[in-house]
Amino acid sequence: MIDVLVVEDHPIFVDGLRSSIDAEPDMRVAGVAGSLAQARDWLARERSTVTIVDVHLPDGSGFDLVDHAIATRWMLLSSSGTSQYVEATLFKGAAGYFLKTTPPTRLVPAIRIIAAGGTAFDPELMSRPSVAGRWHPLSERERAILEQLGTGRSNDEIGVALGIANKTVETHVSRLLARFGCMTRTELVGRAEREGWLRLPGR
Amino acid sequence: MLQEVSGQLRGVTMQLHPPILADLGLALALDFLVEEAQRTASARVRLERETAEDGARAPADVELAAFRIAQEALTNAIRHSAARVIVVQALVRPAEVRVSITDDGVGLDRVATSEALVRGHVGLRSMSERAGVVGGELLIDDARPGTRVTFRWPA
Repeated sequence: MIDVLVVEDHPIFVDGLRSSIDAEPDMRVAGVAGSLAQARDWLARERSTVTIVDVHLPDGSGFDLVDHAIATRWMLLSSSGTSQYVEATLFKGAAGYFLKTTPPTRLVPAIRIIAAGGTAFDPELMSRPSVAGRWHPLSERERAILEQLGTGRSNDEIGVALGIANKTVETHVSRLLARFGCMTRTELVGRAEREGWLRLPGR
Repeated sequence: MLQEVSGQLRGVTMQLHPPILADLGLALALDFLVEEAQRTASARVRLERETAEDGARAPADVELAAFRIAQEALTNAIRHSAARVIVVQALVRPAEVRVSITDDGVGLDRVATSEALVRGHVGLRSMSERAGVVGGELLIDDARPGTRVTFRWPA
């Protein structure tokens, strides 16, 4: 049985979510908390498989509740579709982010995926380029090119090292610049390194 | 174009407590601000940010002051400096915050003599007061060419 804690201060939203979850044979709403404080109390006493947290709570940000010392899987909800919310979710290591406008029919399977140890993000949101840019992992080729850039090689040298055309290297580099929002190769290497995409030699 | 940009930034200004700041903290709220500016401004705008490993936040009043100052300085740079590049740098830690907005535009002397300052739109005084209230300070530098506005906390 998937036990769900719902941390949300809008009763109507809670009711809607509860009826969808409780209609499923393998999950139930085990608890409801209307604030961060109530949620912390509940989690200190009981256990949930998945904790669904509204980001906007009366006593603070739902992101501040996410704590890996607590044995639950975190799923964030908010009405904001800006890419920074997805980034915060990834940064906090939470398992999912959904818009509050998402129909419960989509939330239910997501809860199941998250309970099983997976991650789930709002498909509506992931189709927006600003969000997708942050989320999509780099391809093997992009990663290889980044590593080559990190050693200070030119496009020609990279082309030779990877056995691809100079023009192809150029295309990949300009895509990488756009993806990381950088203007120069040096900046790109710095940013990629900060974000953990590559390890420079000697570090 | 400029009208549109300042209109949009103003739109965000009108909200007393921007939800993104409360929800996500200063670093990601600045990321949002810069992303909005990138969409609309003719200058290239970019953000360099550094945060605590665990994403720990600074006090709420300091974050709000830093965000407002960044917003105002960014609006000024876009509207008045004729900059080609604007860089927002942010360091956010629980006990230290530094946010600077650097443009390669005409420089403050030129802006200061413009009508904008006379009409009080540049708002340096209110930015400085805002910094002081939370125990921080506002520094204005000649970035040669251009201007750098820095909020630093603690002062």
